[in-house]
Amino acid sequence: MNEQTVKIVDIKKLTSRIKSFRLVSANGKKLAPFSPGSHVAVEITLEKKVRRNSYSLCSSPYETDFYEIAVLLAEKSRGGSQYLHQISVGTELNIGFPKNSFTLASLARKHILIAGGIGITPLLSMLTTLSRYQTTFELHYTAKSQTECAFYEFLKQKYGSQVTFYFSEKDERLSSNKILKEQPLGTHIYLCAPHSLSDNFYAEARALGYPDLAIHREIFGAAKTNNKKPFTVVLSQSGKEITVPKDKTLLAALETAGFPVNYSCRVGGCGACELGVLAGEIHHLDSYYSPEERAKQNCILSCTSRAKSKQLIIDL
Amino acid sequence: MSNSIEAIKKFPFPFTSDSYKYSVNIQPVTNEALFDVNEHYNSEIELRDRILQKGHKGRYVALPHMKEAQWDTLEMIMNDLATWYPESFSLTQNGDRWIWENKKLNLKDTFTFLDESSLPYQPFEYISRQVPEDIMLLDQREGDLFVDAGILMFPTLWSLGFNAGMSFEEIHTPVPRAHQMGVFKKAKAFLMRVQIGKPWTRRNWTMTINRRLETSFETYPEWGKDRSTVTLENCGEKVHLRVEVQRFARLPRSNALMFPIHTYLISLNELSTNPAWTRQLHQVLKNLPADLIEYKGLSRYYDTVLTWLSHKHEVKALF
Ligand code: HEM
Ligand code: FES
Repeated sequence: MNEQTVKIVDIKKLTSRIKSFRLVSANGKKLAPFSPGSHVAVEITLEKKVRRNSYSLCSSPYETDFYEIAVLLAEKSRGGSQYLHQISVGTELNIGFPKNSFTLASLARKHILIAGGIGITPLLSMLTTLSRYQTTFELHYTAKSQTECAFYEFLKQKYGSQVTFYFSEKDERLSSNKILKEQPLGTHIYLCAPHSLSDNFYAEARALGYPDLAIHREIFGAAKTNNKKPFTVVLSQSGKEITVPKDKTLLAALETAGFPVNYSCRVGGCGACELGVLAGEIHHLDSYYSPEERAKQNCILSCTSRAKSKQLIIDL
Repeated sequence: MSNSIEAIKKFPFPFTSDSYKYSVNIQPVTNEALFDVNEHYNSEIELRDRILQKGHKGRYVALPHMKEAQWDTLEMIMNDLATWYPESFSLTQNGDRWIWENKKLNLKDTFTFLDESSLPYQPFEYISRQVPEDIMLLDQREGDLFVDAGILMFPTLWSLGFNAGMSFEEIHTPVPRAHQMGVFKKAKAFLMRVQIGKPWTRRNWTMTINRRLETSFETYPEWGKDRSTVTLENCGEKVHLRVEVQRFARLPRSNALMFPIHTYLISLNELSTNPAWTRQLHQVLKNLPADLIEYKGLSRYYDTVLTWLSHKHEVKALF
């Protein structure tokens, strides 16, 4: 994934546990523009293992000379945030193109943004766009204290009375009911906060009659199956057995073994590489089949899906 | 205007097997321009201009919330053209001050990015007047895609006036078979996941009588009758295979989906210079189910074309 190579040009300590990083292109290519709410995957290699952590882009979508991300040093760090907290200016990183699973609703009449702690990060780029288009919004932001509240000064200065802060140390609490009731029709809610707070707002919003489609929650990219297992397939027509190693797709393994299969997209979206399955349990990883089709367990998209059982017998 | 030998060679022949059925036939675009500037560029741009002069109704739409998508489109097209055809197009960016040069149209404009008042038209109209592709911009919201902006000069019997604002599945309502096959649900799920920097492509096809690109719903009375003029004698010259090369690209700032369509026409005479194409087109048409023959509007000259193709095919086989 060297979609973009960046260099760290500035690091700021925002709170005791949050650092922000300014990233510029390291190879002269322009950074990809992005939409508000986007994140990028940052590649981190630790002990020869590559992991990809997703971080929201906090900089302005209208600024593409640099990106900014903010990283919380996780308590039970898998190593990713710890690594980023100790590196220095000048370090190069491989990152992905921006992706967005937390977009602004283009037709909303009003936007209510709820941030808990580091959850402020994807909301920052949204604020830039909302204020540019002078769309009505409110930001409610809770943190432990003013010193633990990243971007406090910036937000206060730039957005003034449109932002309300709640510091738990001072026993200030967000009331979901107070915030959500009596809002105009067409209000959309954006939640990026710890589970308990997010769930509370979600339940309250539903109870107040907000449609499901007007409640947006940040979920970072679909679960990646890192632990791919090898398996074997038996070709029913010839009885030939082929091993699919953990770092190869079924499609690629068949190609190598001299059984080219039809394909088009190679990412599980088009159905071209479908094969019939006569026995064995399939692990569907595509975005093509409906739940009913998956449940039938009788065909597989060989470019992405794998086996749950040790072996599959396929109709080939 | 007919195709040069070079253009015939490069024609995007749409079939990969002897029978055609609807599927989610999408492929990644790699190392290729998104927009095609070819020998028909100037004549097609002129034709589009003439059509647009008669009025924007049913030809150009951009709902107010598509502003960001408009600028995204302008940026993506300018970068694409300047990258792939540097001899004809160039883009100079000094911060927000951009200089755009289109040597093919003898045009050089300086404007401020994201400032609509610095351009003679809306950004989407400005740039789409300089490409031969029809373009739809789909807003992605609330789990769906909506055709909320578009420019359409060369449709195959559909209408932007009627379809603007519709969702992806609504727009495909008239298409037979594919809904039952689940094609559109799957295509939509796929399109919603198209990522920045990873565009996709698919081909669609039909047939057109005479080398006519403008076959809209509104002008049907002008061209519909041509379908009854096909004879064995004029078939090779009159009947054209019409292929749409469609692209799907994520627009970065707006998160909208850009859907450009490039329409190519090739007469059966031109196509039959390639025996493999002649044979395959013949097979595909022979195997085409009745409802698709009807939907694609081939009924009135279908038999004539089959006979013509089978002669070509046999004559070739003799030598
Ligand atoms: C992304 C935006 C897309 C738009 C705006 C769009 C729009 C349209 C329109 C307006 C028609 C004509 C319908 C009519 O007869 O009134 C059509 C036909 C069709 N579309 Fe799409 N389409 C899109 C993408 C796709 C994709 C991804 C597929 C993939 C399966 C697809 C498959 C088809 C098929 C099979 C037809 C019938 C064409 C024929 O047989 O001549 N479309 N589309
Ligand atoms: S090749 Fe498209 S789903 Fe496998």
